[in-house]
Amino acid sequence: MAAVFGQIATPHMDWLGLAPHMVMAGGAVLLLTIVSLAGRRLPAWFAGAWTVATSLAVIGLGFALWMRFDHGAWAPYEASDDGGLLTAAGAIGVGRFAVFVIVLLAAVVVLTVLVADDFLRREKLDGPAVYVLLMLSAAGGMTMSAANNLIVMFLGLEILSLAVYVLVAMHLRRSSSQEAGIKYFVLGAFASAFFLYGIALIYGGTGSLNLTEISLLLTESSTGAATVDKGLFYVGMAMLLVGFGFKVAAVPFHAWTPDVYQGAPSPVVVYMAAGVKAAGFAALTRVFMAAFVQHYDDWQPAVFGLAVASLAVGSLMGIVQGDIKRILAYSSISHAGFILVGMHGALGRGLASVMFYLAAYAAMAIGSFAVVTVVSGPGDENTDIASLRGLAVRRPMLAGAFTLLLLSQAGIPFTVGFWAKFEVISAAADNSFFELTVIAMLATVVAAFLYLRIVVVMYLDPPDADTPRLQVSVGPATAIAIVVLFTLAFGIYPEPLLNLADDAFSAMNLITQ
Amino acid sequence: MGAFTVLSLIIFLPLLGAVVIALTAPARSVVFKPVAVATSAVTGALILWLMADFDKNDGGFQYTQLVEWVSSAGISWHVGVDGISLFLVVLTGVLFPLAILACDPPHDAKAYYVWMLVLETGCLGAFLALDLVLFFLFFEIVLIPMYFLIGCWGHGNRKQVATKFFLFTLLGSALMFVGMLVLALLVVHETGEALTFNLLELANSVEELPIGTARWIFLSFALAFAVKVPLFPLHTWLPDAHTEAPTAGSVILAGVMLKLGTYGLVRFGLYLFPEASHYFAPLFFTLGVIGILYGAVVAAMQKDLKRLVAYSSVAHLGFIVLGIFAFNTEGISGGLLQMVNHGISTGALFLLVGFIYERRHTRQISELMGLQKAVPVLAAVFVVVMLSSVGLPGLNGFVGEFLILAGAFVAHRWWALLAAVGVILAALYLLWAYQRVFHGTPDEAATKMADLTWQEKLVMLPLVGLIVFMGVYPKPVLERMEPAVHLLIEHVEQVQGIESPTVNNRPHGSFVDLRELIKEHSYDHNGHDHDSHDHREGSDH
Repeated sequence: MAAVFGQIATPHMDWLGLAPHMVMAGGAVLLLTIVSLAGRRLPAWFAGAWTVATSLAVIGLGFALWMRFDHGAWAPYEASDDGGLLTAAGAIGVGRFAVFVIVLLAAVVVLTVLVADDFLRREKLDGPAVYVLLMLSAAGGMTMSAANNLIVMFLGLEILSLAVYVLVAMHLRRSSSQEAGIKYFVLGAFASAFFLYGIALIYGGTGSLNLTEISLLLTESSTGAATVDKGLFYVGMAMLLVGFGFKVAAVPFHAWTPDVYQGAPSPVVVYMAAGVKAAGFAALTRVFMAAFVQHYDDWQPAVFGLAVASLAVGSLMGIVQGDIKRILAYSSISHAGFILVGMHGALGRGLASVMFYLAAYAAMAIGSFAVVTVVSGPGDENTDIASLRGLAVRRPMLAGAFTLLLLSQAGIPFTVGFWAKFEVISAAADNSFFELTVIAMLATVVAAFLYLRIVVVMYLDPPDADTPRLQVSVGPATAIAIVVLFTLAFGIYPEPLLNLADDAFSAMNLITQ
Repeated sequence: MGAFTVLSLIIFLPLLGAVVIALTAPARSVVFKPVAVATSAVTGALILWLMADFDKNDGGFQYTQLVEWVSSAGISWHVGVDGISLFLVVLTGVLFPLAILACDPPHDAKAYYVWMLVLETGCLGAFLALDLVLFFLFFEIVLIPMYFLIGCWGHGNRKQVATKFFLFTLLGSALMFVGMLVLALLVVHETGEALTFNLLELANSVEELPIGTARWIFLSFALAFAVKVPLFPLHTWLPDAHTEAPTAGSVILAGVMLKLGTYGLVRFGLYLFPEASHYFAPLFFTLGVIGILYGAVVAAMQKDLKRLVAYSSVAHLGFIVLGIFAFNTEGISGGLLQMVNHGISTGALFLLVGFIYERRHTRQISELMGLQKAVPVLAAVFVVVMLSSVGLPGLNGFVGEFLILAGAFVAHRWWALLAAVGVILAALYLLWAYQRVFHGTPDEAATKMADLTWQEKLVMLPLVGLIVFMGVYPKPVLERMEPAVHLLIEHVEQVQGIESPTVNNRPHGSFVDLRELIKEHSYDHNGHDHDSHDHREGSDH
C-alpha cells in the first residue's frame, strides 16, 4: 500500500478548507446510514435535528475559515482567486467569498428544516429522505461556490440539481408536484447539457478547465504569449451563461419558475428560492469574475440584457397572477434581475452588492414562502391569493410578518431589502449605467404593486366566514421570527452585513487588480 | 437632556408611544387614545420649547446632531433645525395631537393609534434630517402608515385609492433614489473625497458637477417632490386620497405630508441645485400657476365638500411653489409661511368637514342645507377657517399670499397677475360652498344636528387662535424664518454667480421702491435684514 502511495502523487489537501463540504455531504450519508440501521426506533424529530446540527457545525466551520484569513494563511498553498487557498490540485479554492456562500447555504438549510419538519408530518411525507437530499443539495451548492475548476463546478451543479429535482416531486399524492418535478428535471437537464457543452468548448478554446489558468491564458493571449481560440471560447462562455441563467431563473431562461414554484411542496420552494438561487449566483460570479474577467466588456452587455429582461418580465408578469406562489415566483425573477444589475457592475462595487443582495433575498424569500407553507393548509393546495383574505384578523402576527417581508422585497426603508437595492443601484450608478438604474427602480415600483396586492388582500378584505383556523406551529413560527428579526435588524443597522459582503467581495477581487 | 439630543428625542418620542401601544394588550383599549394623545402632546410641547429656545438671529442649523450610522456608505444620523424647517416641525407638533384628539377610529383603535404615531415620527424625521439618505428613509416610510390609514379606516373606494396613493408617491421617490445615489457618487468622482450623503457637504461640492448632470439630478429630485406637493399634472392621486382618507388622515395628509414636497423643493431643490432650480424655475412657475387656476376651477365644480377642500389644496400648493421659485426673500418667506398657514387652515377645514360627516354621514353639498341656524358654533368656526383659506386680511392666509404675490410680481409679473386671479376664484368657490351648505332654512336632518362638543371646541380653539394670531402678528414667525431664507438666497446667488452670471431676471431699479413698500407694510425687519438686503441690491447692479 505504501508503495502505491509513493508512486501516485496525491495533491496536498487543505482539510479545514474542505471541511464544510465534507461535513454537509458526510452528514447526509451518515443520516441515511443511521436511519436505515436504527429504523423506526428513532424519534420523529431525529432527522430534522440531525440536519440542523450538521448545518450548525458547517456554520461554525465557516466562521473558523473566515477567521483564518485574518491571521494570514495557515498553509503553504498558492492564493486562490478569492483570497483563499487553492487546494486539491487547484480544483477547490475556499476563500471568504466561498465561506460567505457556504454559511448562507447552511443557514438556509437550517431555516428550511424548521419550515419543513412540521409540513412533512402534516402531509405524512416524513422520513429521512427529504433531509438527506436537502443536505446533499446544499453540499453541491457549497462545492459550486468554492470550485476553481469547471468540471468540479459541474459536479457541484449536478449534485445540487439532482437532489432538488427529487425534492420538487416529493409530494406523492399531488400530481402538480410530480408534474413540476418532471418539468424542472427536463428543462434542468437541458440547461445542464448547455453548461457541459460550454465547458467542453471553453476547454477546446483555451486548453484548460482551471479558472485561474483560464484567466491567465486569456491575459497571455492578448499579448500573444498563449493562443486561445476566441470563437470556441465565446460560444462556450455564452453557453455557460445559459446554464447559469436557468439556475438563477433569469429571463429568458425563467419559464420553468412559476410552474415549478407552484407545483413544488412549499418548504422545497423555500430552499429553491433562497438556496439554489444563491448557489447559482455564487457560481456565476465566480466563473465570470475569476476566469472571464478579461472579457468583462464582452459579457457585460449580455448581463445587461438578462437583467433588464428579468426586471421587466418579473415585475410585469407578477401583477397578473392569481396564485401567491406564482406571484412570489415572478418576484424572485425580478430579484434575479436586481442581482444581475449588481453583477453587471461587478468590476466596481458590484460584487459586494451581489453578496449582500443574496443574503437579504434569502431572508425575504425564506420568510415569504414559510408564510405560504403555513397558509397553504392540508394538501398544500390552498395557495390562491384569496386564501389570504382577512389574514390580519385571523392571524395578526403572521400577517404583520408577511407584510414586513413583502415591504422588504419592495425595498421600503428600514428593511434589509432597502439596503440591498441601495447597494445594487449604487453599483450601477457608480459605473455610470444610469439607464439601468432607472429601469431597475421603475421595475421596483411595478413590483411594489404586486406586493401591495397581497397586503390589500390580507388587511382590507374581510375573512371568509367558513375559513378554518390556521395552525401556526413552532417550527415555521421560529423560522419566520428569525428572518423578520434579520430583516429589521439589518434594515436599521446594515453596517455589519455590508462589511461582511465587502470583505467577501474584496477578497474575490484580488486577481482582477 | 442635552441640547444635542433634543431633536432625536422629538423624533423618537412618538415612536416610543407607538411601541407602548403596540405592546399593550388589546383588551385594555381604553388606554390607547390617552397614550397617543399624551405622547403627541408631549412631543408638541417639546417642539414649542424648541421654538422658544430657537436663536432667531442664526440662519444656520441649530441643535444639530451628527452620529455615524452606516459609515461604509457615508450615511449618518444627521439632524438639525433652521428657520426653514422650524415651523413645519411646529406645525407637525401641533396638528398631530389635535388630529388624534379630534377623531376616534370606528374600529381597530390599537393599530390606528400606532400608525398615527409612526406617521408623526416619519414626518418629523423628514423635516429634521440633514442627510440625504436619512431624509429619503423618512420621506418614503411615511407612505406605509398613511397607506394603512387610508386603506383600513378610509371611506368608499379605499383599497384602490390607498394603492394609487402609494404607487404614485413611490414612482416619484424611485427616481429620486437614483438621483440621490448618482449625485453622491459623482461628487466622489469629481472631488475624490469619501462617499457622503451629508446635505451640507454635498451642497458645497455640487457645483463641481457639470451643469447638465446637475440639472438631470435636480429633475429626479423635483419629480419626487412634485408628486408629493402635488404639482399639476401629477396631482391626480390627491383628490382621491384626501376624500377617502379618514378625517385625521386627511388633516395630516394635507396639513403635514404635502409640505414634505414643498419643503423638499426648498431644501433639496433650491439649496442643493441652485443653478438647476433657477434654470427650471419657469417650468415650476407655470405649473404652479396652472395648479392655482385649475385647482380653483375644479374645486368650484365639486359636489362633495371634502373633495372641494382637496382641490383647494392643489390651488394653495400652487401658490407655495410660485413663491419658492420667485427666488427672493418675499417669495420664499411667503411660501414657507403659506405652508404653515395651509397646514392650519386646511387641516381645520378637513376637521370641520369630518365633524359634519360624523353627524350627517354625507359630504354632498346638495344634501346639506341651513347648517348655520342648526349649528351656529360650527358655522362660526367654519367662517373663520374658510376666510383664512380665502386669504382675508387680518387672518393668516393673507400674509402668506401677499408675500408670495409680491415676490412673484417682482420676479415674473404676468404669472403673478394670473395667480392673483386664483385668489378671487378661491373666494368664489369657498363662499359659494359656504352659502350652499350653511345658509338657507335648515331641513329636518339639519335641525337634529348637534353642535360642536367640548372636545371638538378644544381642538378647534388653538387652530382658530393661530389663524388670527398669525394674521395679525406674523412677525415672530417671519423673523425666525428671515435669517435662514437670507442664507439660502445668498447660497443660491453665490453658486449662480459662478455658474451662470448672465442669467438674471431679477428686478431692476424701478421695483426697488415697491419692494421696500412691501417689506414695510408686511412686517418689521431688523438691522440684520437691512444689511443683507442692501448687499443683495448691490449685487444686482
